Amino acid sequence: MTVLTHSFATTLVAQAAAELAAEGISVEAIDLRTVSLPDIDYALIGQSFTKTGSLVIVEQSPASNSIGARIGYECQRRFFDQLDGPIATVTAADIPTPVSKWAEAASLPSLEQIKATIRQAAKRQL
Amino acid sequence: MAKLKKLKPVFDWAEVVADEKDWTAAPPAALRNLLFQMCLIRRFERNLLELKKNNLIHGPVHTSIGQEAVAVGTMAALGRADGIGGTHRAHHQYLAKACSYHLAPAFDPVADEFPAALKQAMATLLAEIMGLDAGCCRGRGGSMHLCDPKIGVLGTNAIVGGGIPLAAGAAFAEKYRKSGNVVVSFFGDGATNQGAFHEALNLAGLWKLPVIYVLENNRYAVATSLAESSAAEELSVRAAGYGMTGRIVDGNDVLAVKAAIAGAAQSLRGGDAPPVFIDMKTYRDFHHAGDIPGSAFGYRSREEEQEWKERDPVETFRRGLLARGFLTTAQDTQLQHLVDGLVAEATGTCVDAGAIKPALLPVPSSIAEGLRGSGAEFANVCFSEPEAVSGPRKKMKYVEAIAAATGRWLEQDPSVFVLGEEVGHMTGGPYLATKGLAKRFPGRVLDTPISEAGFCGLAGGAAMNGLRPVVEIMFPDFALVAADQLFNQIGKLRHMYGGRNVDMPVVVRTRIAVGCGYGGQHSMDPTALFALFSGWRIVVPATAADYVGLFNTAMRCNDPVLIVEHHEQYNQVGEVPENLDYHIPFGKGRLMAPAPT
Repeated sequence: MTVLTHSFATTLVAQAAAELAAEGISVEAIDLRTVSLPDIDYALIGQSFTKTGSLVIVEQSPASNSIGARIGYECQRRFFDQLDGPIATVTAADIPTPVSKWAEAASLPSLEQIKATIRQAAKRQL
Repeated sequence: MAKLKKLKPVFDWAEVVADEKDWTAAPPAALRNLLFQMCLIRRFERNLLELKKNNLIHGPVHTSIGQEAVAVGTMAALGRADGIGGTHRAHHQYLAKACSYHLAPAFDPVADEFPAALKQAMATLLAEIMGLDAGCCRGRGGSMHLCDPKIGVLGTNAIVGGGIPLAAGAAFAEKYRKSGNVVVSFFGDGATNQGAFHEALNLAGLWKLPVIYVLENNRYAVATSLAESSAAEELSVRAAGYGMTGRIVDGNDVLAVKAAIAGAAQSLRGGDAPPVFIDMKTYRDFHHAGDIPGSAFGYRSREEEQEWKERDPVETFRRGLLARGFLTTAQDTQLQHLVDGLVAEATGTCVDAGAIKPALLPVPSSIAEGLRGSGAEFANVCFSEPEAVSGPRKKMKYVEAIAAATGRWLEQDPSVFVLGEEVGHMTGGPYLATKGLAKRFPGRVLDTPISEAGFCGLAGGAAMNGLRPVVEIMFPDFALVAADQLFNQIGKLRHMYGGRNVDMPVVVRTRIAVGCGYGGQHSMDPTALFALFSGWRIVVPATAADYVGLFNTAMRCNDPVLIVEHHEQYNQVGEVPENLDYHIPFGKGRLMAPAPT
């Protein structure tokens, strides 16, 4: 599995990758580091994608505020022939972030959600 | 019982009125030169209206016809190194600045040869307005977005009020360098109700920047009159709220304008005087754009237009010169022939047999050139991942890496300064990302008012004028308050101004705070927002070591760079090379090692 991420979501993805390894799912996680659209490291993404054929993009932004969808579009355009399933994105709930500790936590992508999405993508169950 | 104890505002407010001595203070040739410049501008703009009618100009043509004295009088009192920022109605500002730059002080239009460099400037301006590659902005800016820094045209701006914070930034740079130069910021009456106007004026007044605010008051914002748009009848009273000097002047009297600017500039050069706000009262002959009078649209009367026509700046000045014997009828005719010839010659550089010369059209493959800088600033940089940097390492929290990298730049580059809300207070910012820096670098770590549009725009103007600001936006959501400055201005100006006129080395840092219970207005991830504007580069360092390397690259870069931080990362500890001077290239992702289970 190729997983693209940035910012604090990198910490969550690293954790998810470690736990999924125990299930036999191999994750190649990429911290994009530069995320302005003309500067995305498609060379590195391509190298990984050629091996995996499957892509998940993880970020903490609400879906409407997501850059992952735009990166995903470009990935399918560039790597369509290697694509072996839909590109999945993990984002926060598409709402203004609530203050309530519990509501805020519920709005953000959890480790479990990230793992579940990667698992589904790995099993081509999306 | 409580009583009212009357108070008076402390405000230096005056009208500048020219008298006979202003006519004799300068030699007659200098006065003829002023008339010549006004005639040149008028002829040039009448020609634009013809070209527009003939479908040779794409986009609006906002002429200054009726307002020429504001630009000519202003530039006549400025030096070559002084800069100006203008508006969507700026042909007169460009031409007058070009004249004051290229014409010798003793130039006599009826005796001396017109300099070739000024002919070139006219051709360059016309080409720009016509959208041609030979224009000062390669035809991308057109009439409203002019930029020619070598003659001091720092930039004209089509967002009403948008250029005012940038001009404050340009003035900040002049003060920072102790150059003694001043900046003139032109805007119209419509701009005085925009937030950017108020934010910029407050900062300029607060920091006593060498800037002259020229309100080119033609009484109408498109079709909206002063009475419909402003609660205050005299707009110069707004200067009182920002600790400025307020002046009123007849903007149709070129000598009064010149005197007002000369007085203001003298007070500001190299000193610590407050900025000066000058309300120059004038009138545009035509509607907002085009060649039809405003009365045809019903928002002004023919009588009012006629009253102002009788006070036409060019004709009244011409009559004054003739009456005093400073200009003969023959010289007047000669002058008219001269401007006709010069405008025809400029037109001839762009137009042949009624059509635009095909060789001047921008080549389609060139249109994206200069969206970002050439990268020449990295010519001597050897990029390296942190792991490849030799020497000892030390453990550092992410937040400590921010302060260390920023301090390193403040140490080695005097053009670097830091600004933002509370960046100097409380030992180093609301969350200590600038810890200790204000003390180490006095005067270079600046606490700003809560005024994002003001200080982001100021940073942009300072960056265009040679400085390298680091702006902290306390919460990413606040970028929306400064959206025009960050996106329309900082994100677009390099390209819009032709790709080679300006650099925009602004670094904006901001910290995502989601997960802290700050709610819907403080929890944004700004990457997707900034990514709407292709002029911005966006980096998101996830470790302390990556932070230093990406920060260094951002600081060296001549383009605007957003650095996105996250509060959850601030206390994460990582190994960082003790030698902080390494650069991680933009556009390189990193394969992550899986975390230990």
